[in-house]
Amino acid sequence: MTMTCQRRVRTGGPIGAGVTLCAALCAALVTAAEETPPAAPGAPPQRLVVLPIESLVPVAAPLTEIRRGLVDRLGLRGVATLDDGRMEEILARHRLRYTGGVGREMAAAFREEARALLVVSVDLYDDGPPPRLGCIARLVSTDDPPRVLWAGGAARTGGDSPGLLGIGLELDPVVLRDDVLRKLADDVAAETGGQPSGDSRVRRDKPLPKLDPQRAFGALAAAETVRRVAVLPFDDRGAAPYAGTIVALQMVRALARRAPAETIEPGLVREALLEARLILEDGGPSLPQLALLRSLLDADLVVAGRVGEYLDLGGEWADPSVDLAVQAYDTRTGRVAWSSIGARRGAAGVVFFDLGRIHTAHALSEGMTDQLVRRMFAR
Amino acid sequence: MRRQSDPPRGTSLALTLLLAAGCGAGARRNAVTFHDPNMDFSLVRTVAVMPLANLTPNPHAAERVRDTLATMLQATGSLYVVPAGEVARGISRSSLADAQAPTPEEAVQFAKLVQADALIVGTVREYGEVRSGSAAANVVALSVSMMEAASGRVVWSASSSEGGVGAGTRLFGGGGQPMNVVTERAIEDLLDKLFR
Repeated sequence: MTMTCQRRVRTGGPIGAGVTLCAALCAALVTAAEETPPAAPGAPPQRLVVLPIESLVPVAAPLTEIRRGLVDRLGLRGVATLDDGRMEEILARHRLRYTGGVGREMAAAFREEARALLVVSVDLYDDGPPPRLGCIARLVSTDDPPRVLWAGGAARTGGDSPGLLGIGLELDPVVLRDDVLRKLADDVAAETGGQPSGDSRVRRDKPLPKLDPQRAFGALAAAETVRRVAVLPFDDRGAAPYAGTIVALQMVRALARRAPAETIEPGLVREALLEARLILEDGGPSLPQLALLRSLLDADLVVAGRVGEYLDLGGEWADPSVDLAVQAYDTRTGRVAWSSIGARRGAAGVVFFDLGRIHTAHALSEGMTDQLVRRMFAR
Repeated sequence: MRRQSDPPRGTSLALTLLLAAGCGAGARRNAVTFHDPNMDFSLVRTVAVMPLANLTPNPHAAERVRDTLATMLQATGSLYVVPAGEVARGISRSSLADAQAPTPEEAVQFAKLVQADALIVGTVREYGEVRSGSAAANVVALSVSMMEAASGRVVWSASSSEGGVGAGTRLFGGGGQPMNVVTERAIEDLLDKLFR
C-alpha cells in the first residue's frame, strides 16, 4: 500500500498542491479499504476472500508475496477482503487444502464471512532476465452451488516492449509483479464495485489476435439451448508440467467471458469427478461418463481436450508455442458438438521489427481459447 | 528455315524442369491407394478412428496424428467420428488383443459395440525432423485403412507422406513447414483419396 501511495505521489506532479491532494486521496482510499462495508441483514458481507494462490509453474514462485500484493491493491481500490488469520482458521477447521477451485464445501465454509472467493493460479513465473509473470483468476460466489462471477487473467514479461536499443526492457521482477497485480486488482475492483485505477501497463480489452483453430467441426445446432458448460481437465501429452490444467483454466476463463451459457466452476467439476471416481480414459469421456457428468453437474456441454505442446521458454527472444485439440460433447445426445485442432507460435504473426509477436504461452493460449469459444458459439 | 523450327534453349530447359516437377509431384500423389469397387461408401456415416500404430521415435506421434485425422474427418461434414473416449471404452469392453490391428472378427464385434459403420486403422511411419546435409525439415508419413463394420473387410487403403527437405529448403534454408501443417497436408491428401 505504502509503495503504491509513494508512486502515486511521485507521478502526481511537481506542484505541492497536487501532491497533497493525491496523498489525501490515497489516505482516503486506504481508510475505505480498512473498513468493511455494512452488509444487509441475513446477506453475506460484501467482502472477498483471496484464497492462497495455486502454483502451476515448475519453479518456486513467491506466492505469499503475490497474494499479499494483490490483497493490498484490492484494498487500495476499495475492495474489502477477509483477513488472513480468519481465512486460515476456516481452511484449517474445514480441512480444506485444495485452493485451486471452489467446491460446495468451501463455498459453505465461507458463506457467513464473504460474498465471493477469488481463486488465483500462477501459470507463468520466471525471475528472468527478463522476468515474467502470469496469473489466471476467477471470482466464485459462495452460493450453493458456487457460481463463476468473473474470470480473467494478466501476464507480462519484461521484454514485452523492448523498444529502441532495449530501453523499454523491464528487468526488475518486483516492478513487473506490481504491474500484473494492478491489472488483476483493477479487473476485480471493476467487477465488485470498487474503484479501478487503470494505471497498469498490461493492456485491457485488447483486440483478439488471429489465433483461430486451423481445423474445426461445429455441430452445436442450437447454441442458445446450452445452459451450462463444464470443462474437464485437459489431457497433457508430453507438454509442460500443468499444461493441461492451465489450458483448461484458460478455457474456463474464455467460456465465462464469451459464452452465452453459465460456466460450471472447475472446483465443482473436480468434486464431481472425485465423488464418482471417474477416471477419464485416453482421449476424453465415454458415453456413460457423459451421462454421469450430466446428472452430477447438470451440464449440457462438456469440453475436453488435449495439449500436444505448451512451450514457454524464457529469454528475450523465446518463441512460445501451443498445440491444442478440443472437443465439446453434447450431453443430451452424447455426440461430439465441436472438434478442433490448432497449433500456434508466438512469432508466427511477426511481419517486421517484432511487431505482432506474442511473448508467452499464457497469451497464446488465451487468444486461442477466446477465438475457439467465439467460433463455437457463433450463430 | 532450320533455325526457325528449333525451340529456343530456354524453352527446353523450362520444359525439362516442369516435367521433372510434375514427375515429383506425381510420385507423391499417385501413392498406392485401394478402393473396393463393390463398396458403397455413401453408406458409411459413422466411423471409429482406432489408436494408430507408432513406428516413430516420438511417443506422442500416433496420438497427435489421430487427433488431427479425427477432427479433419469430422470437419468434412459427411462422416461422424465416434468420440475417442467411447473408442477407448469399446476397446476395454471388447478386450481387443491389438487395438491397432484388429482381426476382421474383432472389427465386426467392436464396430457393433461402438455403433460405427466402419473402423479406421493405420500406422504412422515417420513423424519429425529429417536432415539432409545442413538442411532440416519436418516430415510425416502414414498409411490408413478402412474396415467395413459388417464383414471386417478392408474396403479402402491409402498412404501419404508430406514434408521433407526439398530443393527450396536445400537452397534457401528455412527449416520447412511446422509439424502441424505437414500433418494436415498429409491427411488432406488421404481424405482426397478417400472421397475421390
